[in-house]
Amino acid sequence: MSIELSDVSFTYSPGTPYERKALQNINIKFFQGEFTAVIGHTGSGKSTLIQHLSGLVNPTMGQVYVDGININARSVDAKQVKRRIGMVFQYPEDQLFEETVFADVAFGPRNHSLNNAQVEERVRYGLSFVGLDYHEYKDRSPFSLSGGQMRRVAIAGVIALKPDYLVLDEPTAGLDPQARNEILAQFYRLHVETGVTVVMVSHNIEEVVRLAKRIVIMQEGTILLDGSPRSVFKHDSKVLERAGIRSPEVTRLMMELAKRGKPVRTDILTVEEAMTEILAWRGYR
Amino acid sequence: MIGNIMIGQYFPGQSVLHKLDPRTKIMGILIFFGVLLTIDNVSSYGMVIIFTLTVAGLSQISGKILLMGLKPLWWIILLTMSIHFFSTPGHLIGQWGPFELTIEGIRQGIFMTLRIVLLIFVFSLLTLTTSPISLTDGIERLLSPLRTVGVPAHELAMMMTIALRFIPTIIQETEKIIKAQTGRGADFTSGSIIKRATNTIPILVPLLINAFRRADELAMAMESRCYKGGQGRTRMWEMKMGAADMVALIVTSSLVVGAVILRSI
Repeated sequence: MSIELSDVSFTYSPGTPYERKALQNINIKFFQGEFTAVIGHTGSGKSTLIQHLSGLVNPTMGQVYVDGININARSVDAKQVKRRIGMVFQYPEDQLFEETVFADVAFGPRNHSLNNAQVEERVRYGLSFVGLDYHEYKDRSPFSLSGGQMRRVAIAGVIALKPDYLVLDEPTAGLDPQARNEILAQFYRLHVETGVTVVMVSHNIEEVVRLAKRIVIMQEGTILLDGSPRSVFKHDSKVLERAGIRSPEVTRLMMELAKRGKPVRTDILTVEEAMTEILAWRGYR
Repeated sequence: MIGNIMIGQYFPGQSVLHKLDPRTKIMGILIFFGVLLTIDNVSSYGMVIIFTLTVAGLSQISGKILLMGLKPLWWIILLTMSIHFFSTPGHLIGQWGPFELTIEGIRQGIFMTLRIVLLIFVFSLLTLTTSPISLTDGIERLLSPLRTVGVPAHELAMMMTIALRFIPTIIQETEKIIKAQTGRGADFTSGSIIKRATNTIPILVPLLINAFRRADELAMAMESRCYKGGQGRTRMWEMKMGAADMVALIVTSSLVVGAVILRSI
């Protein structure tokens, strides 16, 4: 049970002066039940990478297997397996089109040919996931909502599909910190409770470190580093900086202290850890 | 899928053709079209074809890309050719039921096809070697004498610039929305015609809404930078006609002379 990319390359507009190699010989496997964050500089290929996971883009070279099935093949199996992947795009509110919130969230479930009762159950499930009251919002026009609420409705439309794999492309970009934390906490809860596999693109290192068990750093269409947050951020900050990534602020603080000869660990990722470590060093314990 | 549209695309380059003043290229193309639509014998077509191939060579754009512009039109070309082949009266050389193939028909068919092919070919040479911005600038300058009789040259050019500017944006956005709705189980590639037509609603509605929003924002951004039409507006890059432009115009104009001479022979 995994999504596997085998030797995948992708080129935009091949054969023209606008040709751009977005991915080069990518080999990576995302396992069932993982929470992975993909980070990298703008243009490093992370969005292109995760669009391959849901079969929406056909690789120029190589194959993508979901649970062992090649999803770019024109087969019934490929069609079936694609349904198990839910994808939230950047600024997903741009895809809203229905007259009511209910109809919009129901679009996906209806396409999966569920009956009316099942569709309603899915819409309730989706809306409660994003924290919108079913009765209050179901009959409103999505276009009368605020930007943050529109984002929630759009995410509800994907959650209502009950996917086994959730692929998120910066789901919280442009939201205020509170909405950001709420939505991320919901994704994390869903991951823990149902074991859904999550692959998320993010620019926010602090939030990535808190949520993800595995971090993939992209640079110029290739995978630079791949591993647990601790193993990734223990790398020399120069390597990371070349990829346009800064380590979490506390990690940099601890590295700075160590550089000045203080006896502290440097593989620290959160403020809490740092506090314990510094207190121990200063002899309070 | 949609990213493969070739007509009207600009290919950056450093060739002589790229560096010509857009006004030269527009005027040249008008002269060329005039000649193309009036010539009617083998030697004139030969002259025009040599001219076209020379210009294509000067553009330094690969033949493959140049021919790609003709690809979506091959069936129109084929249709024109066969209609002329079989519907021109003259010396009969073959007959299949109601279809009569004549020598005049073949001649006419080949000429008409050449006309269409050359027309499209030269027009795509113009757009391939001229950025949309300089193209509209050129049109604005050429139309500006007509301002005195009330033609809003600047406004027309500005509208064209904006429209051209947003074509790639809208293509990109269409692709994104198609992907997003496909991800929610929408199917745009199967079903009856009516079903397919209704299936486009989830694409068209968001596309229109975003286009209106973007138009609003653009108008606001232009106004906040004190845009108030073409009155008294100056440019950062003044267009200048150089020696190359003179040569280009003289060579193109000589096509007219050539056509007149070859006609009377």
